[in-house]
Order: sequence, then C-alpha cells, then structure tokens
Amino acid sequence: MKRALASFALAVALAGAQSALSLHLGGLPFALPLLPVVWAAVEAGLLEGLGVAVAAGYVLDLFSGGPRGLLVSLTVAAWLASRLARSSLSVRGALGFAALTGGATTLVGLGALLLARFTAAPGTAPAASLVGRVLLESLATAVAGLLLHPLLRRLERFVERQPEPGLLAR
Amino acid sequence: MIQLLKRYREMVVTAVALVVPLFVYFAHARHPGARTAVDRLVVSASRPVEWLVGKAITGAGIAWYDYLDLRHARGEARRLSSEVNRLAMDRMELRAVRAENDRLRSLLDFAPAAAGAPIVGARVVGVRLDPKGLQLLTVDRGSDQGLQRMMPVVAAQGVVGRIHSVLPGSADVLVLTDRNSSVAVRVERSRARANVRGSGDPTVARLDFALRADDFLEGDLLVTSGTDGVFPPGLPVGRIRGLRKGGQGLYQHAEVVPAADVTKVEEVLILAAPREEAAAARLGPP
Repeated sequence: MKRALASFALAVALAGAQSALSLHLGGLPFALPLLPVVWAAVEAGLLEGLGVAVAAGYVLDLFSGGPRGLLVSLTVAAWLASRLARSSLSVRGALGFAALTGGATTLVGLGALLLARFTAAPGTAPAASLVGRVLLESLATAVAGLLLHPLLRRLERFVERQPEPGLLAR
Repeated sequence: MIQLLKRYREMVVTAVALVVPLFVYFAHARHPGARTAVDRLVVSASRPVEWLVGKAITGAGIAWYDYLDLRHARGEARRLSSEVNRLAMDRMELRAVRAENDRLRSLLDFAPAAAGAPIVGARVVGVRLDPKGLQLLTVDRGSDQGLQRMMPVVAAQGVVGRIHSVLPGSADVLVLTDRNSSVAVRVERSRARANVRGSGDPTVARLDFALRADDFLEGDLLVTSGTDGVFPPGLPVGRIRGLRKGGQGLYQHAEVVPAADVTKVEEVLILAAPREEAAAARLGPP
C-alpha cells in the first residue's frame, strides 16, 4: 500500500515534470510515469507491483487525455512483461533498468497505437509513421530511467518493508 | 470454487486488472467522459511540479548563460571599467526584453484579425505531444480568466489549436496536429475549400476533402474558412506540401506544414468569446 501510494505520487510528479521538460526540449515525448512501474516489476511483490501498475496507468491515461482504460491495461501488460524479463535477465543495474524501461515504453506505445486503430473514428486512426515517435519516446524514457535510477533506489529504501518482529523480539 | 479462487487469487487479480480496463476503454473509446473531480485534483497536483521544473530549467539556462557572460566579462574587466560591464549586462537584459516584446507585439498585430473576440494572452507552461494519446499544450490561464472548452487558440504565426479542458488556473490546448483535430480551411489564393486534419506528428498535418477539380497548388497558404463554428475566418493554418492527385477518386491529397510550430510556441492568444456569441458574431445580424 505504501509503495503504491508513493509510486502514484511519484507518477503524478513525473507526469508534471515531463510536461515541462518536453516544453524545453522541442516537444520530445516521454512516458516517465512508467518508471515506477518498471521499478516495481523489478523490486516489488506481485500484488504490490500490480497496485503500482494500475495507479501509474491511471496517471498515464489521465495525462494522455484519451479515453480511459487503454493505458491502465497496457501498463499492467508492460509490468507483467517486465516481471517476466526480470526473471530471465539481469536488470538490477542502472543500464538493465534503462533497457527494461525502453522495452516497456515501446510495448505500451505500440500497443496503444494498435488498439487505437480499432476504436478510432473514421479518418483519425493513428498512422504507421507514429511508430517512429513511439521509438523516440522509448529512447527518451530509457535515458530518463538511467538518470533517475539513483532516485528510485532512494525511494526503494523508503518504501521497502520492515521485517516484522517475531515473538521473541521486543 | 472459492478454494480455487483463493488458490489462484494473484492470477485472477492480474487478469482482472488487464481485462477490465480494456472493456472500459472499448466501451467509452468513441465517447470519452469528462474529467471527474478526482481527475481534476490529480492534474492540479501535478501543476506545481510542472511549474517548478519549468522554472528550474529556465533558471539553469539563465545561470549558464550568465556564467558564460561572467567568464567573458572577467576577461574584459582587465581592460574596461566595472561600469561598462554593468552596461553590457543591462544591454543583454534589454535584448531579451526586446525579443519578448517583438514576439508579443506580433501577437498583438495579429489580434485584430480575430473577429473582434475578447482576447486572453497566455504562456505555454507544458507540452504533451504524446504519440499514444492526445497532443496537448498546457497554458497558464484557465476558467478563472473566462476560458471554456473549444475556444480557438492562435499564435502570431497562425492557428495553434483549441481549448480541450479547463482547470481554474490552467487549460489544455488540443493542437492542430492532433489526430482528432480538424479545421475547415480555404486556399487564400483560390478560395477552394478543404479540411486540415492532424496526423499525430507535431510537424505535419494532412489535407482532407480537397476536391480534385478545385484549385490547389504546392505552397498555397491555407486559412481558416470559419465554417467549422470554432475558428473565425482568415487565420493562417499552414502551407500545402507534397500535393498529389491519384489516377482516380474524388479528392486530391497533400501534407500541410502548420503555420505555427507547436513544439516551439511560447505565447498564445485565446479568442475568448463564448461559443454561442462567437457563432452569432460570424453569422451576422438576423
């Protein structure tokens, strides 16, 4: 619960920060609220991580301005994929985390483009040319993941579960 | 059954978290609802961070340039008096103010073209050109300043977009290049009509419903026609690029390079007449 709340607050802050960053970087797209999701996939338990994914997905949905639900579902999918990757790859270092973040961002971006094609009004379906911008977004988010890795480690120390005292402990 | 659910609890919860939002999305994809009070609260909570990061970046930029200036000034100080240094700094400040003045003046020059609507000036404080969602700019004026949804937003170069959602102190602008944005236009030269629809790429839009028989040329300036009920007529929208006529079909196709670069725009004007009033003004007296 503490992790989900902290991650939600962080996702909201990151969403605000990415808006200001984009303004000064010529409209460069980011998906910074995905950082706590990938982090939770690496560090947190299943239900805790799922809570983080749903919370961050809500923030992404809210700030993307599109219809609700799409990015929540895709963020949960990205979190699941990151958990699977965690079990087979070494992703605990900053570089591994950045690579996983880039992969998760690509998954969410391409998934959103694909699903939006089924629901878009005639003439408004996303064009294939937007794949380039999704890849750019993934790269930018991965670089941000690399830079924010120390912050997330610090946050982990704040939210990590304290061992409960046993019967013999006071 | 309950035993089974308990046994596979985590798997069930994960599946629910994956599937339920998708159902919600497919149910509401064509008719997205308005923001709830919780949504507005969350968006408002992000604004101070947005403001703080923006100020930090601007401050860091100023500090960096000041540092460069100071390094340069240190060399000069050996030769010149401190008074000259101070004047040089003043001059730099004045130059920055003059550049800002020029931008604002060109905005004001542009204002009379906006059909006499009350005008609210605003600064762009955030950009969200997200390929997954809507393409939005955040401006520092909102419902407190009388802004409402659908109000046209313009810059000195031309149309930027329209207001998409409003909070008390800020508003989101759906830019011209968003996939869901469509503006009715005319060719300034030939008066031929068409629509400009966003592509999702912030640097380019596309020309829709341009009849084959109509007079369109490469490089033609497109201006708003005023027939969409949002934008007053005569505002620059963009220029035609890559015009092509297929062997058959009703329409010709082209890209449109927006007149206002949404990735660089810093100040905008919002034509703040309420929609009914604006529409009545365009229709003229009964």
